[in-house]
Amino acid sequence: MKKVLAFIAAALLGLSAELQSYAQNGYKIQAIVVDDLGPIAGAGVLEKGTSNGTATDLDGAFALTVSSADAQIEISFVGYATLTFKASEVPAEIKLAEDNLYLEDAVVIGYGSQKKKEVTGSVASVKAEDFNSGVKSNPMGLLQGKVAGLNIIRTTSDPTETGYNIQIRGFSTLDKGAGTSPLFIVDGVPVSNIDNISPNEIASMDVLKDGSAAAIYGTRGTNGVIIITTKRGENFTDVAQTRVEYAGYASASVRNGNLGMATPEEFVKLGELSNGMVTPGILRDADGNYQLTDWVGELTRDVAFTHSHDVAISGSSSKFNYRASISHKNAQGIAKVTNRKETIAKISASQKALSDKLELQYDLSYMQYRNDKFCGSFKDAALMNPTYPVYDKSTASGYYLPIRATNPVENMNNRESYGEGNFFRGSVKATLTLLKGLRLSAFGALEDGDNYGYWANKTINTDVSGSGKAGRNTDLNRNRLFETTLDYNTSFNGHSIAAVAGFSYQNFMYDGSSMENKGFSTEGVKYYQIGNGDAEGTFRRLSSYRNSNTLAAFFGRVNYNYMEKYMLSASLRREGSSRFGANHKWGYFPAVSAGWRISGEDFMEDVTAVNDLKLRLGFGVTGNNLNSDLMSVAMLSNGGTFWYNGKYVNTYTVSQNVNPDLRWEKKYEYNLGLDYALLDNRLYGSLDVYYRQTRDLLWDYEVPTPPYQYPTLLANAGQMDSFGVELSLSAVPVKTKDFTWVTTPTISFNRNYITKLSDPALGFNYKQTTVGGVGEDGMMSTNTQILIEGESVGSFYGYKFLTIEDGTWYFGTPAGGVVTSEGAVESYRQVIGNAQPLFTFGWNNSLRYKNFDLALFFRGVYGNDVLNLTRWAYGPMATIQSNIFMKDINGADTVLANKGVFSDYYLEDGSYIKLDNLTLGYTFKIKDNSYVDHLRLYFTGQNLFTLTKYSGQDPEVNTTDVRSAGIDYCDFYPTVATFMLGVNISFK
Amino acid sequence: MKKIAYILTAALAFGTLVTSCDDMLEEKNYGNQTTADMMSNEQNVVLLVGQIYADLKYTHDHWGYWGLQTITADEGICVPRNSGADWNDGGYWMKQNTHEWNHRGDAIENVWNITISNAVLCNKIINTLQTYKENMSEDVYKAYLGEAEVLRCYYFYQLFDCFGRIPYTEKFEEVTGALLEPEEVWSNLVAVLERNAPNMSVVNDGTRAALYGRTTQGFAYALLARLYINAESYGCTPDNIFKTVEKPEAFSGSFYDNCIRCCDNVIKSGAYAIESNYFANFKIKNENSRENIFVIVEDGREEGERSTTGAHTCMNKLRIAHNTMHYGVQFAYDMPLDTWNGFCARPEFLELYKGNDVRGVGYEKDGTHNKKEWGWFVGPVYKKGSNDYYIDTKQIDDDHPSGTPTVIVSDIKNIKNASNMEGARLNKWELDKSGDGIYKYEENDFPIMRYADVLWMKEEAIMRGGAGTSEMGSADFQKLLARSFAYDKGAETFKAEYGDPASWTLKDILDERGREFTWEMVRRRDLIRFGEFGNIQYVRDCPNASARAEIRKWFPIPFSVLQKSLRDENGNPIWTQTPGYENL
Repeated sequence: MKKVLAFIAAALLGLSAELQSYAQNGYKIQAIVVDDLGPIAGAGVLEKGTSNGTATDLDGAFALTVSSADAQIEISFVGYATLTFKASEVPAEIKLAEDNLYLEDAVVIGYGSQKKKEVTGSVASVKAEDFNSGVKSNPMGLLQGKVAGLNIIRTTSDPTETGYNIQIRGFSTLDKGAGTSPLFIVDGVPVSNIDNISPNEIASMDVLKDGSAAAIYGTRGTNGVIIITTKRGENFTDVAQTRVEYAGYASASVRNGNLGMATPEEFVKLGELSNGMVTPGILRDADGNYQLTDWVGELTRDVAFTHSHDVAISGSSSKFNYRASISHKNAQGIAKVTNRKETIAKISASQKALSDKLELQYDLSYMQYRNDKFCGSFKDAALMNPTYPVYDKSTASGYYLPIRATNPVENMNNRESYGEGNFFRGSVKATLTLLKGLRLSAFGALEDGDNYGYWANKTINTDVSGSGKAGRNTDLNRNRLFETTLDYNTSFNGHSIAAVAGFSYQNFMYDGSSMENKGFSTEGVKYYQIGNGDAEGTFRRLSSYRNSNTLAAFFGRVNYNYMEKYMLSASLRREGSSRFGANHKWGYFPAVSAGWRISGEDFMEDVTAVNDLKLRLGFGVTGNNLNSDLMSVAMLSNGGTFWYNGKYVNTYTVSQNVNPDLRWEKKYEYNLGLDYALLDNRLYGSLDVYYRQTRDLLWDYEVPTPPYQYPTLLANAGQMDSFGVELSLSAVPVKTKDFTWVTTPTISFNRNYITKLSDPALGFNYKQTTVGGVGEDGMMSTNTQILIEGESVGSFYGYKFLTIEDGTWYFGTPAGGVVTSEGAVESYRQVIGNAQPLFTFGWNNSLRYKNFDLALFFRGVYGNDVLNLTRWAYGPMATIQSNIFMKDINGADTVLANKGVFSDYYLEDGSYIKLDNLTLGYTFKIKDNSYVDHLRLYFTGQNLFTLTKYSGQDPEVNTTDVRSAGIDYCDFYPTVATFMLGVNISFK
Repeated sequence: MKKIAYILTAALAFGTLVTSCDDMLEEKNYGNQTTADMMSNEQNVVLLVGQIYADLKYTHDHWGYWGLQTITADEGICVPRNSGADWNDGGYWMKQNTHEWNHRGDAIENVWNITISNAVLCNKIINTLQTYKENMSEDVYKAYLGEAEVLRCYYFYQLFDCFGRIPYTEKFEEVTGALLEPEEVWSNLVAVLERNAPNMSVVNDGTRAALYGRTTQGFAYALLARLYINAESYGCTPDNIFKTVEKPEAFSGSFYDNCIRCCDNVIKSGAYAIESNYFANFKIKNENSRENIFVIVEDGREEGERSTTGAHTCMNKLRIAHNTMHYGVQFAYDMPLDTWNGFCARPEFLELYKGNDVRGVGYEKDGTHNKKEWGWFVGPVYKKGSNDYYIDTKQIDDDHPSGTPTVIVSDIKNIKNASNMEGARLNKWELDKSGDGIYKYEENDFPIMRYADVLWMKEEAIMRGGAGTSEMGSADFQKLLARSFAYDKGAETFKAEYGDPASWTLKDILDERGREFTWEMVRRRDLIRFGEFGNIQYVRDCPNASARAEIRKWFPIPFSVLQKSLRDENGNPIWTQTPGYENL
């Protein structure tokens, strides 16, 4: 086995791992390494400054010959504080103590890092070993449920849709003009896309949650900051080292979750199931026979396979280190055709020069992907009459043509759409040590992303307006960054100061074009030769755009601590954006925070139950940029066509009311936190309480016409308050030599209120506006939610359902009256629910028994309402042609849908608990001196079950969108359960 | 320490250098032009001015002005079908059908928002023309100014016709006070139109093509005639008009005298003529109609689709035929856009048609509806290129468990739950049967004002006591009568069926206008003018319509508009609800 692995390593990477062996005539040492529970197997023993080392055997014993009696011997084991002895002073029994919960670990805080115990802001740091296991469409999947207050939702299992809905500490903007996504910093570069990072190549993710931590990022800090640090070569070592790692998995996904629609068998029996209240339209042929078609099944694969491989080589020497990796993933979606292929190559290197005074860091990464998109519609399939056949020989296309609908199978098969792209990111950083503790850095980065989209519809397609058309489009995103920083670190007499000041300039450019045509001579022309189609121009379309924006900022921060007991941090950023009006381009974003490490005080010395206790208090102001360009200036855009002298000409118009006074949205946030470790570190975690207030909320305010031409004006006026509590707790109920169990629940509460939505002084008198628009066949398009002063975002607004008697629906009025559907006038609508959960939780359990490890990860929400739109819009009707939602079919108690009136009858409890992830792993014991350094096999099951009362497919709906939180729209992509086998192996 | 100071200074200097000015934070516009760029060249002025017409296309949407006009009158109805699965829209249409609408209706909001926005846009363009007057010749300036002012009058006319009290203004970005009363709005509109009409471009064979789809002298006078003949229905009296605006010089005598004067100006211009075929005005290629005075030039291609945002989208494409035709019609002619089986005729309205009036229902009498043109469609819908009936699988019952053969009938048994087949469909706009997929929407230009309307207004004004000479003897007038019975003996049959117009009463004119201008956005005002709006003879199944008729001559001002009104010093909105609607 060893030989095979060595061969693979050599063959794969073209190198043979050859290690020098020192120590022929040196000083011999031997000892046993133990902890409280007994011997530690596998602890590392290293002669410092060399690669001469060994590991303890199963009895904790080791023997090593070192160069001399004066050699420094380092004893280390994961999770324990490393000890160093002089060779001559090594005791016979070396007792390792567990290190104190990574308090010494570095936490990345933006433009620098701090030891965890010195951090004063609310920052959650998640290391690679704590990431979620499983198939993830982008790195945010690794964090889902891990950080209290960080809400990550994925509402599709489509691998070509890589994004997650992410929200830190609930709503802090109304999402109209202002950005809502957290800021992502990847190895120092603020980026807008994190798809191009392989999950295997991430070392840590740090989440800056509160204003005091995020304010250093100024105008982009309001929605929180997520700092991703990728793996690099190991720290500089005196002796050259090389390591090769492989991580790979293969997975299979199958559909799970019940759509709630009638099955074909139920559909034909709807008459009896509904006690005669529903008559299904059964399509019979001349002989009276009918089909039983599973339309959704026609569009899905039985099993979707995914495999992923990541090979990395890293090494270090005293002046140079590097890491190079190649990752490849091929992911099938459960829908037919759906597929994503991606390949990511990454190299990072660091070089020291000028007597170690200069350090250069290079990072280069490149990604290539291809998305094959699903062209059908699951909503259409779910609603399609199950007695309709898929095929019909009598039609031109050979597919059965349902009335007023397209055949979902035809729709899928006669259309194609795929996207390709490549993405480059490169950066270089030069750090010059000017004096002891004083460093000057210059950092430059370039990102360049190209996306290409292609689509074509066959001519035979019955969708006449779309048939025979093909198109292609190109989008370019470019991001250029230049930063220079000066930082100074010093300590004296217990005082320790870390200061940084800098300047940052970042420019984003977006450019694109698209074209389409039809009338090609053969189906094969597709998007390859667009110009060869229709020459007259009736179906020729051309368009292109370019826009850009720039941010510039000066910033500074000072971190001070005294004896690691009293900590103080203050930062200020002055930032300007090209997107705002001339008088409001620049803004100041200050922050200050303090910490008191109570456990460091003398009076705590005797309190043995407390291992660590730190109180934090922070305040910070962050901004929110506009997320589109040219909003504050009067630019002309297409104003529609005008018939002029016998032909159409395009006219020009200013398409919005222009507000030259647009300015930053600002969020003021207070955070009080407590970090604790108790009872011999068997219980540890943190507790945060915060209050945040967003002022000058950007919103499309309703304005009177005249004087304004358009009914809304993008302006700053409103105010929103929110507060919340976040608790993360780790407990170690069992801890023996062979068996450990760590259980980590996290829970977060968040409440928000719109405290102001009007400003009469500015002429904005609109105190409320309805959002949450829904519209389906046969129902009035209705706004189901309200934004109103005094209520929170996500408030459902409709009629209060009381009862149904003899088919008549009764609703309650706010004054306590009772009305029927006819009497349900507008003024009887009221707030009838909220899409925001009372709390969100995650619960991780990590168990280790000898070489086995088991992780069970649950997550969920409690106390929210979900609008089941499918149930409302496609519930039972007296006679039906399309398929229906079954929940209200109940024999004599069948409830016919009330499409006209939106009431809380159609709101359901959205609470759920999911077994998100179950992983069982086995780590092989590897003998020392073998080429293989580490080998672990594991099985992961993802999304195995959901406990919920919700009657739709999945209660995990998007709750992060201000205008549609908690609405389960009728479009969907089937949910899946995934089973995966993986291996991690490393060679040295 | 000195060294540090140097370095700090250098770093600071560097930083300051990079940001020494705000230049780098200036937005780059990449080809997006400003108004000043555009107005610097006289050739381009039209590209800015032209936008005032672009959104006129919202007018004829069923969620817009046309929809409000059509189903609140007796000429149209929109019934829920398929047990409410289609055209239910939360009961919205039923409230319109039965005159029970309230201030939250989508169409009501759309009409307000679109027309007021268009009127303000006209003011903006007028303001722009004034600002850049130096960049163009005097003639060009005056022509565009007049065009914009007259079109602004039409937008305000639409708004005023619906709501009565409106925030009328002729200045751009002017903060208006309380809503103007109907008679004040009327006075302003008349004053502006009378001032502009004499100077507007006149249509003749040389200018017809260039002025197509634009406001002209003919349209200005025709709109004036419409304002005069309806003046009393808006609450205008000789004593309450022209209080805040100077009385136009041309105005003298009664409203009807003035109506006749304006009609005569149109007639005398010789620019317009009655088409001998009624349907020539509604063809896909109807741009050669000499009868259409002002049309919305349609672009039936998929391009340039624009929709309002909001609960229901009002679109800038003509889709009346798509709205009314049965689902199967799409498949019969391979139309790119589906047909929706929506608006149809109230059965009682069809009683106005007698004999073989081409504007009426053809099929039931001789089964030749698809050979000849008829105003209303009833009868079978065939499969494409076949004589087999199209099977409507949405219409199922015990006899037809898999669908019903489609045969449209004019009767509607239950307006609260109609079958897919009930109600006659307006067929006067030619359908695109080519199947080539080039026109997704309808390409027929939509007439806002027809010469026929001018002739009938004049006759009515004379009958109402205005001074003038009847046109009934004219060739044009005879054509009007003759074409209605084109399949019979023309004018002779007309007189036999409806009597000689020379001996008609006012009521006969109302009926004839109903037949002639079906779904052309005049019926609602006609009924109000004749005191018949809300009369249950005209809107059957709405037993309480008469009782509410007085209030419902106006539509309520949308809730959202009142909400965003400017406030007085006590915080109360200065725009207030139309009396009678406060609690609806």
